[in-house]
Amino acid sequence: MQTDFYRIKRLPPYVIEEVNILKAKARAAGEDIIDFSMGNPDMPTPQHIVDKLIETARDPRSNRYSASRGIKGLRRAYSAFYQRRFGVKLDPDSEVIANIGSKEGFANLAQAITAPGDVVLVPNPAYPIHAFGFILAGAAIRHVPARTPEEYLSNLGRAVKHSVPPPLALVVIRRIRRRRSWSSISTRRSSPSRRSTRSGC
Amino acid sequence: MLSDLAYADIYFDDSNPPPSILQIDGAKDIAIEFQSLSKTYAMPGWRMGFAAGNKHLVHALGRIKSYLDYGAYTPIQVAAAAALNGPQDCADEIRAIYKSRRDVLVESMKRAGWDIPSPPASMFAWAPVPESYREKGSMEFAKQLLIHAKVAVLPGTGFGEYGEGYVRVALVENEHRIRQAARNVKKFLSLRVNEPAELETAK
Repeated sequence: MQTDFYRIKRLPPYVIEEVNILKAKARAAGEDIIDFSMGNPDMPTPQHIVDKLIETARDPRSNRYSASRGIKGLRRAYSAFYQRRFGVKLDPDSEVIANIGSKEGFANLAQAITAPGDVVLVPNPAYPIHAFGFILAGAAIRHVPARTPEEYLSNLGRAVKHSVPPPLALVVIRRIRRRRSWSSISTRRSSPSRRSTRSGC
Repeated sequence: MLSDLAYADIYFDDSNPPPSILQIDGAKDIAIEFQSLSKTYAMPGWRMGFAAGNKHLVHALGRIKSYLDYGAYTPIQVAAAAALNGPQDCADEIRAIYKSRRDVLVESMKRAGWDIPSPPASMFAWAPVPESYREKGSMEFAKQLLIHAKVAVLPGTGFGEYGEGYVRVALVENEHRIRQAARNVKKFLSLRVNEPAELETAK
C-alpha cells in the first residue's frame, strides 16, 4: 500500500508536538512542568454560557443536525456584536457565517477558493494554519517576512509585484502596536460602547 | 484578503481596542475576517468561530461547508449566541486576568534576567531568546528551558523561519505559577548549559 501520501508529505512536524514529547517525558519522570506552550485558555467558561448549553441540551429536539452556516439567531447575535464592538453593519444572512472553530473555517475557505498552484501571500512568522490551510488546498505559498508590521508592508509590495501569476489571496494577522500604527488608516469606527455594566456573568 | 482577528477582545489598553479590517472603507469588497469565541469567553474546546465580510467569500465558504458539516451542535450555537448577547463583564474579567498575568510575567522575568517586551494585546508574549542562547536557536533554547527550568514555551520557528530568535509564552498559568517559572528561569540563566538537549533527555 502507498504510504507517502501527497498532502501528508507536505506537512512538516507540528512544533507543538516536539515540545509535547519532551513535556510528556519530563512529566512521566515526575517533574512539575509550568506550561506556557499551547495557547489553550485555562479559565472556566462563564457560568451563564454553560447553563445555556445545558438548558438547550435538555430539549429533546436539540439533538438534530443543525444548520451548516450557523442558526439564524447566532448569526444575528454576531452581527449585533460586530456593530457594537466595531461600528460595522453586517447582513447576518449574506455577510456572516458561523464556523466550527476559526481555524477550521479558515482552512475551509482556503479549500473553497484555491485552484492548484494559485499563489497565496502569507506573513512569516504566523500561525501554521495560515500557510498550511492553503498548502492543503494545493496553493503555492509565498512566505512574506513579517517580523514587524513595517517589514510586512514593505515586503508585500515586492511580493505582489513579483508573484507570477498574481496572488489569489493575502493573509493578514494583527500585530497590535501601541497606538499610532493604526491611526493612519481611515476608519469609520464609532467609539466602542460594547461593555455592559450589568452584572451576573 | 483573509484577516485573522482571533484575539480581538484580549487587549490591554482600554482606550485602544484592536479594530476590525471591515472598518476600512471598501474592505467588504475584498476582505473576510475570522474571529473566535475561544479566547473572549474562554470557550476553546467548544469550537465556535465566525467569518464575516465579502459576500462572495462568505458564500463560497458556506457552499463548501454545506458539503462538509452540519454546523456545530445546536446547544453550542445557542450558548454562543447567549455569550454574544449577554452581559459582557465576564469578558472584561477574562481580559483583566490576562492583563495581570502579563504584568507579572514581564516584571518577574525581568528580575530573573530575561527581558520580555510587554504585549499590548493577545494572550501571548513574543519573547526574544536571551543573548546567551541566541546562537543555539529558539528550538534549542525551548528544550533547555523545559529540561532545566521545567518551563514549557514554543520556539518561534514553529511559526515559520522568521520566528527564529523568539519563543512564544502563553499566559495560561496562574500568577503564582508564573512567579515560580521566573524563579526557575533565574536559576537556569545563571547556569551555563553546554550539552545539547538531546543528550540530556537520553539519560
